[in-house]
Amino acid sequence: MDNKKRLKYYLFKEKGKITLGVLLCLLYVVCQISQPFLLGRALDAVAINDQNIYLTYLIICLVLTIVGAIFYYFFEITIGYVSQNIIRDMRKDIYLKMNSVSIKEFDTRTHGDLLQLEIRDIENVANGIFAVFKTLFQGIFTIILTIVMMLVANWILALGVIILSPLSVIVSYFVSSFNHRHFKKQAELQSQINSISLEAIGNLELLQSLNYEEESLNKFKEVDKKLKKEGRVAQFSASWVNPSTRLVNNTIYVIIGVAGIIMLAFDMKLAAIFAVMTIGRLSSFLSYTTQYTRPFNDISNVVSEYEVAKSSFERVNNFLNMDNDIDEGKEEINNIDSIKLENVYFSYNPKYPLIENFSLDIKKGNKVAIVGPTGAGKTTLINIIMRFYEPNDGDIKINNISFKDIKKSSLRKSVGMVLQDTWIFHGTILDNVKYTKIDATKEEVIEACKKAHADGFINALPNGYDTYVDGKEGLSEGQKQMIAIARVMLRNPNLVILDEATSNIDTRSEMLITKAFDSMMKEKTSIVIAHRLSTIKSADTIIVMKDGHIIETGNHNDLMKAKGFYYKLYSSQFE
Amino acid sequence: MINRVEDSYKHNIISLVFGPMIKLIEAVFDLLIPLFMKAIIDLNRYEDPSAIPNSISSALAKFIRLFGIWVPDNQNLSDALIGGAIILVMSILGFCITMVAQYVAARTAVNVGSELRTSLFEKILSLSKKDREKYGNARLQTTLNNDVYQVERGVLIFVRLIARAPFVVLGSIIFCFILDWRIGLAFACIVPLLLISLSFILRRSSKNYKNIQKDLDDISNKASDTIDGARVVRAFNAQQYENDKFDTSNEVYQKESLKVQKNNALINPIIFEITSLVTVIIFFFMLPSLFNSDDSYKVVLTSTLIAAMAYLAQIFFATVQLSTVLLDLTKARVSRGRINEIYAIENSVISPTNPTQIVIKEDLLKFDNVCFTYDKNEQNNVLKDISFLIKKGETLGIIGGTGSGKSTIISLIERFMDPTKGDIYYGNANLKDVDLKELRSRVGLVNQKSSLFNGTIRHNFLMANPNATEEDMMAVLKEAEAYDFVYAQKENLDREIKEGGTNVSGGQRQRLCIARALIKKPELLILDDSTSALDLLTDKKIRNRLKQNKEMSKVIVSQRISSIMDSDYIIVIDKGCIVGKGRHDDLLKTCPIYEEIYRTQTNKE
Repeated sequence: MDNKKRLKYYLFKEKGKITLGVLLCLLYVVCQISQPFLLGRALDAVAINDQNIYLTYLIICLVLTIVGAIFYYFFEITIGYVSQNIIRDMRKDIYLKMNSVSIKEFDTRTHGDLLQLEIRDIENVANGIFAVFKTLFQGIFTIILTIVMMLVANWILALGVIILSPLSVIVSYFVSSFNHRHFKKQAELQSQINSISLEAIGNLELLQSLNYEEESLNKFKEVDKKLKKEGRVAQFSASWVNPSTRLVNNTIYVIIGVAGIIMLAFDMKLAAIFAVMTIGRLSSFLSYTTQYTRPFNDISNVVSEYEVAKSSFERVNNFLNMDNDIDEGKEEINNIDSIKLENVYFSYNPKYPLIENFSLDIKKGNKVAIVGPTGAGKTTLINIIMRFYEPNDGDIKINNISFKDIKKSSLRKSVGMVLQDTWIFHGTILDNVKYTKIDATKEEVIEACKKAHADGFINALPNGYDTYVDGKEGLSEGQKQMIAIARVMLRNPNLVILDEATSNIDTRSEMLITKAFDSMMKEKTSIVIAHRLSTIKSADTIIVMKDGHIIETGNHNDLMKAKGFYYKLYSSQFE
Repeated sequence: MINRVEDSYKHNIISLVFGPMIKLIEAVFDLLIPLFMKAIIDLNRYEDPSAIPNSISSALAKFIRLFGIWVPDNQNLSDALIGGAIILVMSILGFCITMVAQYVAARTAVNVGSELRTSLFEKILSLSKKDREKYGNARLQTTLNNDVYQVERGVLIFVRLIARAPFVVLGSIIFCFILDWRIGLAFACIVPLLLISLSFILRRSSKNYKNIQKDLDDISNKASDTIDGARVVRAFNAQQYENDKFDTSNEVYQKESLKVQKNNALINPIIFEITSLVTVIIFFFMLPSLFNSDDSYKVVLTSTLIAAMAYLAQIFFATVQLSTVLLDLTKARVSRGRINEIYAIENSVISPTNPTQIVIKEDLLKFDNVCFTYDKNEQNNVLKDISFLIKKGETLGIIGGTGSGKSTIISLIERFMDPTKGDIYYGNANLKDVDLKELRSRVGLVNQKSSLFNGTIRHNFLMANPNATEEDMMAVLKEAEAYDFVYAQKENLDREIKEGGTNVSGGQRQRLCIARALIKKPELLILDDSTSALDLLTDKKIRNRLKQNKEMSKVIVSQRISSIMDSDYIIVIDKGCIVGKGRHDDLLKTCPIYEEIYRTQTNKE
C-alpha cells in the first residue's frame, strides 16, 4: 500500500467523527468571529441612541458566546478521539506486523529502529493529525470568516487588511522555517550526545578500566560545544515568534486604526461608494486585527509538525509493507517422528554460500549433537529447521511430509527451543516460565523450575516466583538460561532444540539439568548445540560441522577412534 | 566547579536578574499602544487636547500635538498620522528591546544547560559501581538528558516571561482602572478566575501525564520484548497471545490519553468563555453612561471600550502564558531536585591525593582477609575473608558456580569498589593509596559482558592505548586468535562496530575484547569468563599463547576447568568463601567441590 492509500484507510475509519469535528469547528469559528462585529454594531447603536438595538446585539452576543464555547469543547473532544483512535489502530497494526513479518525481513531491522517506530513515530503521527485537524481547520476558517466579516463592515479597510496579509504570512513562514531548521540540527546533536552518554553509562566499568573517562568527557564536551552553539540559535529563533507576531499585529493595528480614523472624518463622502465608516465598525476592525496574525502563526507551526509526522508515517508504512511470513502449508502434524534434511542449500547472502548440499537424518528418540567452530552454520541449521528461514534449495521432510506442506504453527507446536540469547520479558518469573503453557498451575511451574535447577535461586529472590524481572537487569546470564530451560521443561515437547542453552550455567548445575532433560526426552528427539563436550558426550549421534558441511558423524566413541577433528577438539580440553 | 544546580544559577546571576527587567521596557510600550489609539480617536472629536474629559487620554493627546502639524490645513489627518507614527516607533523599539532580552534568555538557558550537562556527565563518569546502585543506569541517563533539558527550559521561560507576563496583566488592569473603574474592576475579577481554572486543569493533566508515561512505558516494554523475542514468540506459537496482551495495554493507554485530552479540551473553551463573557458584561455595565451622555462624551466612552478590548486581548495572552510558565517552572523544579540528587552522591572510590609509588619486587597482588557487602549492615557478605597472593608472572585461576562472588573479586582488583573489610595490596602499596589511573593502566580487563564500543575496531584499540601502532594491533589480534576473521574482510581494522558489538558474533566479540586488553601491554591481565563463547580448540590456542608471555601475570575466572587447570595457583569460591586453594592436582585430592566440577566436566563417572 502506498502512503496515501494507507493514510486514507486510517482516516476513512474515522470519517464520521472527522466530519463532525469539521462541522463543530466551523460553528465555533462562526460564533467567535461574529462577536467583534456584533459589538461594533452595538456601539453604533449608541451613536443613534437606540437602546433596544444595543441590547439585542448584546444578547445575541451572549448566546453565541455560550454556544460557541460548547461547540469548541466538543470540537476538541472529537479530534481527540479521532487522533487517539488512529494511534491505537496504527500501534496495534505495527505490533501485529512485528509478530507476522518474516524473520528474514525482521532481522534487517535493529531493535532501536523498531522500537522507535512503535513509540516515537506513532506519537509524531498522532501529534501531526491532532495539530492538522485542530489548527489547520480552525485557522483557515478563522482567516476566511474574518475577511468576510471585514468585507461586510467596510470593504476599503478590508482590502487594506488583505493587502497586509502577506506580511503575516511571510513573517510567520520565515520564523517557523528558520526555527525548524535549527531545531532539527539541535535534535541531531542532542541524539549524538545521548549516544555518547548512553554508551558510557552502560559500560562505565570498562571505560574506567581503560582510563578513558577524560577522553570520553572531552568527546562529550566537544559535542556539547556544538550543541551549545546550535541550541543558542535554536532557542533564540524560537523566541522570535511572539515578538514578531506582536510587531506585525501592532503594525496592522496602527495602519488600520489610523486609516479608520481618517475615514471617520470623511464619513459622508465614503457612504457614496458603499464604504460607510462608523466608530462601531472601527472597533470591530481593531478587534479583528489584534487576532489576525495568530492563525497564520499557528498554521506555519503546523507545517513543521506535519513534516515530522509525514516522515514518521512513511517509516511506519514502509514497515507495514514488509513481507509477511508465508504459511502455505496445510498438513497438521501432531508429533515429530523423524526429520530428514535432503541436499539443503542455504545462505544469507548469495555472495557467501554457507550451507551446501547438507543432508541429515534424525530419527525418533535420538539425541543429536552438533559441534563445530563458530561460524560453522550450527545456528543457521536451527533457523532452517524451525523455519525462520527457508532453504534456498533442497527439502526437509518431517514425518516424511515435505516442509512446505506442513503448517508452521503445527510444526512449532511440538518443539521446545532454547536459544543462545535467552529471552526474558518484562513480567514476573511465574509469567515468564508459564509462557509456554498459559494454563499451567503454579505447582507445575515449580516442578519445571526444579528440573531446570532454577527453583533454588528463584526462592532466594525478594518475591520468589512473583519477582518482577526484565531482560536487562536483575538476573545473571546463567539464571536467565535456567528460566528459559524451565519453560521448555514445562511444555514437555516431543522435539527439543538447545542452542548453547547452558553456556553460562556452572557445570554442576548443568550436569543435573542435562540429566533431567535426558529423562524427559527418553523416546523423544533432541538436537543440542554446545561447546562443552561433556554436554554432548551422551548423544546418540554427534555431527561435526565446519564451514557449512558435515565433516564427521558418529557417536562419541566412534569419533574418538577416528582421531579426526572431534578427537582434536575433545583432547585439547585436558592436554 | 558545580556541585548543585543552584551553582550554575549563580554563575549566570546577572542575566537572570536583568534579562527579565529588559522585558519590562517593552511591556510598557505594549501597554501604551491602546491608550494612544484612544487618544487619536478622541482628538478626532476634540480640537483642544485639554478639553478631552479623560486625564490620561488628554495627556497623550498633548504629547501627540508636541510634534506639530504634519499635514497643513488638516488637523485631524495630522493627529492621526503622528499618533500612528508614535505607535509604530514604539512597536519597533519594543521589538528590538525584546530581541535583546530573548537573546539573553537563550544564551543563559543554553549556558546553564551545557554547564549542568558536562559537569553531571563528569560526575557520572567518576561514580563507582556501588555508587550507582541506588539510582541505576537508566535514571542517570534520563537525568542527564531529560532533567537537564527541563531545567534549561525553565531558565529560558524564567527570563522571557517571569516578569513580563504578570507585569502586562497588572499594567492592563491599572490602565483600565484609570480609564474607567468599572472596566478595571471587571478585569481585576477575571484574572484570578482565569488563573485558577487554568492551573486547576493543567495540574490535573500533569498528574495524568505521569499515568500516561507509565502506560507508554508498558507499551514500550511489550514492544521491546517482542522485538527481542521474535524467534521465541514464533517458536512457541504465541503470536496471538502476545497480540492480545498488547491489545490490553494499548487500550489502557488510549483511555488514559483520552482522559488527558478531554481535560485539556476544557482549556480553550473556558478561556474563550470567560473573556467573551467579560466583554459582554462590560457592555452591559456601560449601558447607562453610554446612553445618558452627550455626543462628544459618547465618543470618549466608545474609544475607552475599544482600548479596553485591546487590553483584554493582552490580558488574555499574558494569562495563558503565565499558566504555562508556572507549569514549566514546576517541572524544572522537580528536575532540579533530581539533578541535585545525582550531584549529592558521595564518591566512594577516590583517587588519593598523595599516591604511593608502586614498587614491585616479587609480590604483585595480595588480598588480605577481604570482605565485601553491598548493604550497610554488613550482613549478606558477597565475599568473606578472601586471602590470596599473586606473584609476578604467575597465573591465578578462580573457579566457582554462578553467583559465587568471582566477578566481585575482579571489581575489587580494578578498584571499581572498595572492600568493606580487609586490605588489598598492589606490589608494596595498599590499593587505596594507589593512583587510580596508574592502577588501571597496569591492569587489563576483559569482562564477562565483552562489550565493544561503537566505532571501528581500530578505535576500540586506540581507546585502550592511544599510542598503539598498526603493528601492535596486528600482533595482539594474532595473539587473541582474531587476526584471521578481522583480516578476512577488506575493511579489516576499520570495520564498523555497531550497537555495542552486536554485529559481530559472540565468539568474535570475546576475542576482540581480549586483544583490546592486550594492547594496553598490562602487567596483570584479567579474563573474567571471557572465553565462554569460544570453542575449546580456540580457547586452548589463546591460553597457550598467553602462557608464553612470562612477564604478564594473569587472573583467569572461568567455569570451565580446562581454562584454569594449568594455573600456578587456583582458588575455588563457593558462596563468597574460599573453599579450596592450591594447584590442580592438589585440589583434586583436597577439595570435594573442585573434584566434583572436574568430574562433571569430564564425565568420568
